[in-house]
Amino acid sequence: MKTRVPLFITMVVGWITLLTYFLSGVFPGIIAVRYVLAELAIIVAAFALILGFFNLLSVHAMHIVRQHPNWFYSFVLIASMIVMVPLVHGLDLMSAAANGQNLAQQSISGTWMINLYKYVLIPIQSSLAALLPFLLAFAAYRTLRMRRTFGAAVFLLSAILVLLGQVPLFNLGILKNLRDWIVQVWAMAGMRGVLLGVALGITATALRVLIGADRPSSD
Amino acid sequence: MPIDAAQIAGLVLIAVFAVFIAVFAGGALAGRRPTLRRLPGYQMLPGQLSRAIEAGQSLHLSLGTGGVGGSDTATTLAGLSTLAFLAEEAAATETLPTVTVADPTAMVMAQDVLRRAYIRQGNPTAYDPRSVRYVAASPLPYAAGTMDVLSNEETLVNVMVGVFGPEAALIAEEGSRQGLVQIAGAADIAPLAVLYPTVNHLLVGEEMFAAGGYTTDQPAHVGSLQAQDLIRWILVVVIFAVSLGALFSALAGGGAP
Repeated sequence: MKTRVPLFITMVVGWITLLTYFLSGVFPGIIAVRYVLAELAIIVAAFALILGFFNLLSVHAMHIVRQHPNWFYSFVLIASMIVMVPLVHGLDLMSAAANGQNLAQQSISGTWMINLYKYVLIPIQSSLAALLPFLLAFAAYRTLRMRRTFGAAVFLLSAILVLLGQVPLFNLGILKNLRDWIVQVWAMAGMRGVLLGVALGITATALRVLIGADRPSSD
Repeated sequence: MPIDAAQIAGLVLIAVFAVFIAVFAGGALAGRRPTLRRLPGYQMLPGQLSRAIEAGQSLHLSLGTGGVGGSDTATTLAGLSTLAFLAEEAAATETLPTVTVADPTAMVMAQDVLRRAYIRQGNPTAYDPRSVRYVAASPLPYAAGTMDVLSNEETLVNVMVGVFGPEAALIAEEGSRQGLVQIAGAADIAPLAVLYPTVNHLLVGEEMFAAGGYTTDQPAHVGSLQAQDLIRWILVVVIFAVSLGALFSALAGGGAP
């Protein structure tokens, strides 16, 4: 019973949601059922977020207690959680209350909150993202040294040709045409093949769950 | 408004797919199992946790930024299938893998997969929910947090199966710097491109969804792999026939194909 109930709920909800996409023309009211189910999923996800918050707190508190390497960063993370939630929200709400503004709106887009995102989070994330091209160039170089296969050679050669065709430094028509040929013919064909396989994989996974053959939430 | 042609085609395709899965799963149950092609990523997976234990280290599994309940559900379930396989081995050896996620719904599911494996092995007290870690909600902070796990915790093997974007390169590069054995799988093109030069074994697109067929050998999983293959061949023939038809019709009409 304990294992069959989650399976039954998963199958029923899954089939209803799937069929709403195909039978909405015959039964227009069925779309409302899909919206209700989607709202329920959002509520469940919100509770999962609370669990996620406490998981993060617990893992990093243990790092501090056990003096884990770099425990200081765990301390910064917990301090940031404490500062972000009550202090920043509190300051924004106080300033909104003083100016007679909408409190609910201020709790997500107040000045303090926006400034923290704009001047702390976004610059840090941008710096991390800026490392990507250098990491990739280094990884491609390492591939050539470590993995001398035909596939690796094709990968590196096409990457170099596409890069050369992209930069304005070598404004040669032949390089641009070569780049377009690689991107529009070979890369596009490969991409479509991969996406077709992914679509089949996703459908097979979903159908296994819908017919009860795959039970991600019960034994 | 009646059902349009596209909706009918979709329904028929899903019905045919479901019938094929049922037929092939029945065949696999009766002992008619196909020989699966070699996928080094999955063939390497068994024993990785034992290797890590022998070295006094652990295994890290990244489920990426996807969750359960949205459009990433199937991809996340593929990652959870890999975790289910590793969890059985972990529960038998009493060594917990470290699992990192960026979506709280995936965290809850991953904790459940691990917990059930420990209960099945008769060792529920050894399970620690903190071995599944909710790192961050967005891709780049998630990558930064996972890099920290790889660099500061005794890890020998890094498995990445789930939803990733270009940030996967940051995680894989850290794994590479630490000299880890790396197995990765992704469904999108961008992470596949950035993971190719960095990891030891890459599971490309649909290969990632074959986890159950290779690791558990369950009839439903093996049957769905055969059904996928058959539907793929049907689609290839249809695409080829339609392309040829369009070419001949353009040639007959004197226009460009």
